[in-house]
Amino acid sequence: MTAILEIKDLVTNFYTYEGVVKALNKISLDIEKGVTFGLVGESGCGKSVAVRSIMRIIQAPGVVESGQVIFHSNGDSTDLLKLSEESMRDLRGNQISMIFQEPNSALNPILSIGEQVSESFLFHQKKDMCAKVLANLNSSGCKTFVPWKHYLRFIYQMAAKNDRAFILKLLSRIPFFKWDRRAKKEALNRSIDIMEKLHVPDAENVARNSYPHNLSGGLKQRIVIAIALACNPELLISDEATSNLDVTIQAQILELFKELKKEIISSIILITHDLGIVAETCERVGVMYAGNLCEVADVEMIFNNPKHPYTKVLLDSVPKISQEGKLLSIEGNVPNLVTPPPGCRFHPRCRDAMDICSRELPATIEIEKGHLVACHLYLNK
Amino acid sequence: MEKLLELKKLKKYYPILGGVLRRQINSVKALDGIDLTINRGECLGLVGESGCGKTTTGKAIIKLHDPTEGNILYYKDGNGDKKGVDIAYMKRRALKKKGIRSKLQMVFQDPTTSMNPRMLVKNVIAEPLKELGNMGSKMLQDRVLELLGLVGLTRDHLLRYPHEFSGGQRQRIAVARAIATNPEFIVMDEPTSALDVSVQAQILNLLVELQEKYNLTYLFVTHHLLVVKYISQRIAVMYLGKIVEVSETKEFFNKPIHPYTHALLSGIPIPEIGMKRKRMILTGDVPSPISPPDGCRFHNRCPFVEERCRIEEPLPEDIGNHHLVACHRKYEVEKLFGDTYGNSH
Repeated sequence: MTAILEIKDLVTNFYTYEGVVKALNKISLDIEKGVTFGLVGESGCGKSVAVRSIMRIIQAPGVVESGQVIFHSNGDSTDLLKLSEESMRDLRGNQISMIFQEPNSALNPILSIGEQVSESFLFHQKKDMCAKVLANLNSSGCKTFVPWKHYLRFIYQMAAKNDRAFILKLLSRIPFFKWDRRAKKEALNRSIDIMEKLHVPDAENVARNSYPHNLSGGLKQRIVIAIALACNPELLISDEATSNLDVTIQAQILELFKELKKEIISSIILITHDLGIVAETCERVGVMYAGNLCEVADVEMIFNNPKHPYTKVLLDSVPKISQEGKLLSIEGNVPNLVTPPPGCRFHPRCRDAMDICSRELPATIEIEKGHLVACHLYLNK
Repeated sequence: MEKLLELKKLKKYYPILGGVLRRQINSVKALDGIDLTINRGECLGLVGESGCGKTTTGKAIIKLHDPTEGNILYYKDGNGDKKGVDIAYMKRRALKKKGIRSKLQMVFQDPTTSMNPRMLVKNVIAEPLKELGNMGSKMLQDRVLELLGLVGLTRDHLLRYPHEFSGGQRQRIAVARAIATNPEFIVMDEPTSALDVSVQAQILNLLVELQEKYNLTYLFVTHHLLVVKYISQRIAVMYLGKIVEVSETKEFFNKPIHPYTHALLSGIPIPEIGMKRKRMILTGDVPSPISPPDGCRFHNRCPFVEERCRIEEPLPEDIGNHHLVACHRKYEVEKLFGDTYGNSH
């Protein structure tokens, strides 16, 4: 299978007053085309930091120090970390898009739903939309005051070629010369389409008249998904998209993901701490602990035959439907990443810790086809 | 089985004020007549979606809120056959005087916000003991240390502030505070939902241990069904301020009756591979508790809705083995579910 995203030795640090937080410690990961990849781990283990580093939206004290993130799309491969901010902006939301954890804080409370969804169309597909409006203007059905029609035709011709020309921006701000109403209308229509595709009830009314506070949590999350899916991204990153929702709503959203995967998007990175979601929706799983990737494997292998001690205890500590007797728990806490334990970062809590674990960081090896583990237990064999 | 608490037709309406004179114009019907019995020494799980009144039930029982209508009968230690005391409208002072206040405790959802950030841990834990007012400072100190030991913390943690602890440790402190007064009954309001899976297992094990040690009774409020399965003996399902089903844990998972229970069960993502099953996915959201639908409250989301459900409200009925269900079609649901979604729970 061909990879859509290759991450090589990614290092991200946060420079805080207490010291340097080593949030990502040389992570390497391949995400194949057409795969739902689950990234699991406890909170603070660097799941979100990893995907934010990919999208280059790490905030102020955080710095992506080194590594490569290679994105393969239509035969080209680009290193996302070397792209300019401008071309990165073209990529975000267009080819790679992200769904954030809390729909409440991801949506702007003072813009209507329609405006927020159409924003991504206006940003990424303006040329296309302007061409469509132009075709509409040229068709005989359009009846407008003639000089105005000539003006619009001229402007939209220009916009269809280069939608970010300075003169266009200027004219759209001058009264009587504002030309982009038709483009906005087109964007709104497209947003209503995508919202209908996501089964938002009464999509037209919601898009035109509702604000985030009018909607329930599940519906808000659908809108956030609609924004992310607006431009048919090749890679969708979902950062705990369902963790604040109720079970019945969560089931709706997960079903939606499965449906979408058949039709629109090719790959999904699903960040979650709920192993149940991983078992049900993902094909490959990566387990993270304290900034390291411990184990990457197919979902059946992770659940039926986990290799890394951390994966084992993590699976044991989740209550299951066939649970009998006591739950096993991991003693101790997640280490402080300012002063992470030397060697393997899991060794102070590990049941099978050896001498070497506290000295050397284990290399990642492939013990079976497609099953990567970073643990000293398997290194010598 | 000996009863500890009995809720009878308990109602809690929160007023909505409006207009120029701030009169009451409507009310949020958070609890709309619930009947529930809690037995001594058991852990009763209370599940449901957010906004269905789970937490309100817990808060009403330990009297953080005064209920609007209905009774809460409390059967005090050792006189189970006697008539219970109705604590629903008792004044706070009377509660304290009769020694009931200290017997009913609560652990809150978010350990970060349920503790005063300006109090040392020793004061946090000692506060309920001081309120009882029958301990000298030496005794108090010893008791606090004992409590810390019980929840797996040490003397070193005594002189620290809550922010210096991790989430799991903070929840341990909250548990220590709740068991400080030797309560009989503790409301656990989603004690693990703010915690990680590995820490969640630690806290759950601690709770089970304490329950066995002190014969505690829990009301375990949560929306996580697998957690409830692990810890409780009986489970009650709430929907929009009503209890729709109460059954033993085993029966709850093997033989659910109410369509809403079916939906909840098929909604949980199971952390095991090969558990392929047909899912019943509800459409829409929970209706607003300000104007709940007529008839059965679940009727506008229920796939097996009948004409009768829209008009008449079903009452909870025992269908044997202490299994209470409030549904008009309770004897048909199993067959209907099997026909529509396949028999695969």
